[in-house]
Amino acid sequence: MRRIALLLLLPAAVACGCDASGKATPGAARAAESAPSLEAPAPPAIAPRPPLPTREGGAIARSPTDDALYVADEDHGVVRRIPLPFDPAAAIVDVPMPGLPAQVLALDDRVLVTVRSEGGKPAAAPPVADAGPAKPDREPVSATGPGLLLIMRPDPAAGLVEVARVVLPADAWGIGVSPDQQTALVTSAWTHQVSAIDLATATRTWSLDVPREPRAVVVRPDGASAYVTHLVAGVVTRLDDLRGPPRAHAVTLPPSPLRSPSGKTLDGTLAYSAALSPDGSRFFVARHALGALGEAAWFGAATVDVLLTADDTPFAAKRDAGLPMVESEIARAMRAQSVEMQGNFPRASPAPFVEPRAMVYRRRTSTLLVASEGTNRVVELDARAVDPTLFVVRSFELGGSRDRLIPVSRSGGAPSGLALSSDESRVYVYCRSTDDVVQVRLDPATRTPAARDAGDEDGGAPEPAQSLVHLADDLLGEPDGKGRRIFYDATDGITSGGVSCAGCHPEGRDDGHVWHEIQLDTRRSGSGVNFLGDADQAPLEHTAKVGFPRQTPMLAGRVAASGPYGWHGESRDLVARLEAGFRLHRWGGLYLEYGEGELLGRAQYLAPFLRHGLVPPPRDVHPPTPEEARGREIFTSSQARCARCHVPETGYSDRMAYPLSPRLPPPAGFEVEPNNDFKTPSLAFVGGTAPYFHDGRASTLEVLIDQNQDRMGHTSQLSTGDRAALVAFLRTL
Amino acid sequence: MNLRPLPISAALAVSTFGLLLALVRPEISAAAIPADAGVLPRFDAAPFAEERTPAPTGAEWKPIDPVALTASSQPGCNAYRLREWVRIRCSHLPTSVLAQLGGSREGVSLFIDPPGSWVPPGGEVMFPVRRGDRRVFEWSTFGDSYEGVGAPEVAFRISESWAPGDAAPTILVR
Repeated sequence: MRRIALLLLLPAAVACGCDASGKATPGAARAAESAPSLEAPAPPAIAPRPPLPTREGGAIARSPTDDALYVADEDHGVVRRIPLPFDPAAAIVDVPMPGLPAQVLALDDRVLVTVRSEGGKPAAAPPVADAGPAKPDREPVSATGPGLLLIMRPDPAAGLVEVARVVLPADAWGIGVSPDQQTALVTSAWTHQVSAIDLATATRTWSLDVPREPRAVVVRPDGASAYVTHLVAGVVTRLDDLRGPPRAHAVTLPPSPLRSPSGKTLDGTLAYSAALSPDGSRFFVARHALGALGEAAWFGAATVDVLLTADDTPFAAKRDAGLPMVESEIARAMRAQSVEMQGNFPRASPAPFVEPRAMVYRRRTSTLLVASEGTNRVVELDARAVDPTLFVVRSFELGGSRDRLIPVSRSGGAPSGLALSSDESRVYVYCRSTDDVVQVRLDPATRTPAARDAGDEDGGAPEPAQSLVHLADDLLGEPDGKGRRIFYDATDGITSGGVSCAGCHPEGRDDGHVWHEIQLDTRRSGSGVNFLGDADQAPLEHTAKVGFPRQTPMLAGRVAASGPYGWHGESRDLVARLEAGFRLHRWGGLYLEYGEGELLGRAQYLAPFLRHGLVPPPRDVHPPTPEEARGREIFTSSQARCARCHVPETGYSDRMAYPLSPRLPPPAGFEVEPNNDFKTPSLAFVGGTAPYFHDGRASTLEVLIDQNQDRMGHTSQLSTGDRAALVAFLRTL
Repeated sequence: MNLRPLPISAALAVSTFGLLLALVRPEISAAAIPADAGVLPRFDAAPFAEERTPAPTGAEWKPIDPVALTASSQPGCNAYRLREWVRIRCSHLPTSVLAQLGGSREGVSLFIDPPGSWVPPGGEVMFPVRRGDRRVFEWSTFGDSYEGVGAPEVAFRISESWAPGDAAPTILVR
């Protein structure tokens, strides 16, 4: 169907020529230095250190000297050095890591690398003799070592040479450095810590407990404070007094306030990345707003939210349904008959980008480049806008070739890291699911370097819009490797309705959100049982109570069992559960062009990847403390009866469904569910998956035990100390 | 299904929509103003006074020449400034919905012309520009979306802000 607006609008492809950075040019700086002065001559000046390309780590980083890119390839357990200028034929040096690298950050003379947990191994294909049906013994095991910050120096032959390593809490992930490059801050995701490292002495100066899943860390220009984003719950933490002892407090930054239901604050997830404006006045967080309003936006919308750092206030005001609006008679008539719309929400596509995974600030144009993991795109947003999400400058599709039957990308898949060239005319994109680096030209085409070098003023083919280096093949081989590409892909309309598996199960973990499972009868998409991120996304016929509560389950390390699966144990095995899931994760019904085999084919690729490719969180293996030992005693006792259903030998679940009695009313906003039998969930990694119960009613394990009411086992008789012991044991699982 | 029938008048309007658009479209092309903002004075060339003045009348706007905004990618529309007031007018853009999405509503005026028409040929947004502003507006034309043919489809948005610490306000049209 013709898109009328395309006839009316010219493409907004030309970026504004305004440069609001206000930076003095090097030439101006030199002129200032040479100006005559009436003051006494100063001692010889130390050449000012040019600012780093970025002070935040990423999956890819460019060296300040502009001679190399570094890629933290977590799925192969190496850091790769790619020489610049970008040349697909150039030799790439792979630097083995002592665990799985998460981020890399290039300083003037050093390269920092976070290693999630020492000893961690990438998931790999089994020996040929073992290939075939999924085998539990191929599951990756949790790493047990500490997190590391490696301090390395560039080396022409070896790529990087380790200078020092700093032991950190496990699951070390994000890096940020102070403006003077003396201090690094590192987040440890699973163990929810932030640590400070003195880079001169390679020592950890402190670690601080913060909320779940800290990821990006950005040091403010004053070097005295920093912001930390979190993968779940929409929290932003501010750290003050970085020179110690540090203090942490929550900063209010509602996700996508202009798309939120009036008066509501949404859950925010996927805050992998953040950036500061060059003057430090604005802090940008790229993430996902669960429940943001939009056309058929069952899962919400991606967003870049802006915090004004002068007083830590959100730039965008919260949405108010009573704001001025005027409309044509056609619009009025259509609104009157549309029960699936909730008023004058922004009518943008809910997905100008999906699952933001990385973000960089482009100074020259005052724009933000955002990697859209789910749609294999890089989107450029106007950073000066109140809500940059709504001010898209342009979008670049990466790669392009797709598989024939299940149309997921063969190249440019799951962009996960961004690094700008020194002149900001190009962006280098690390694409995780296809193991590529794509160079995207941001400026208009120019002559090729060869033509320029040859003095050919007129000739020479223009530089390609994109060029690509394939780094390696997937260690998982097939079918698991294809399962990985499906896992990160939000464009295949059969797998889901616009969001990939990784959108709700980041890294195979959970998003901490409680969804509404509801029967939807939609006007244009048919009927189906679907998940909604927020009750206000439901068609207007649904009033106060919307659907049944469903807390996102963690997948990594929890799907080895043959079955059954599903909230009530209704799916006989993992493949059947995935087939059911394809129908749940969308708006309305699923249109199948070629029949049910479409679902089965995808599920058969995904299931082995979930089992073999998702790396479970690290484990802290240590001799049990007396409290943990007491907790285990209680857990396995015939009185408490925990282990009767949460059977230790089978992943702490017997896979059976049991009634939860006494029956409790559902949390506010949810309907009473007729079926009160729920399958025993696995307790593996339960210490890191709050909130708890299928309805998320328990915010902590302590609350879960305190409010159990003997619905599970028999715990009401336990003393305060024994309850604490049971919780301590559960945290070891 | 949640489908309720359109009023006959609305159905007629939708069914003839394509014809109307075809009639309007050449006019748009002819009237489109080159997106060369460099020839226009910037809207913030003169400083914004702290004084609050009444919204200008139509007669006051009449002699005012267009200005360039911080950034604009919308041909066929003009921006004007008078004292602390800014007016963005699109005379040749079929306008379905004009909506403010966020920020202070004080002094904000939205118009489609003529009011009550089925396919308004244009509209305008007027607002005061003051320190602390953080407004967003959405300007929709007609398109083909989930809601059907003729449903509102975003043409562009306006971001108007004057954050603490910024020397001047920022107005973006994208």
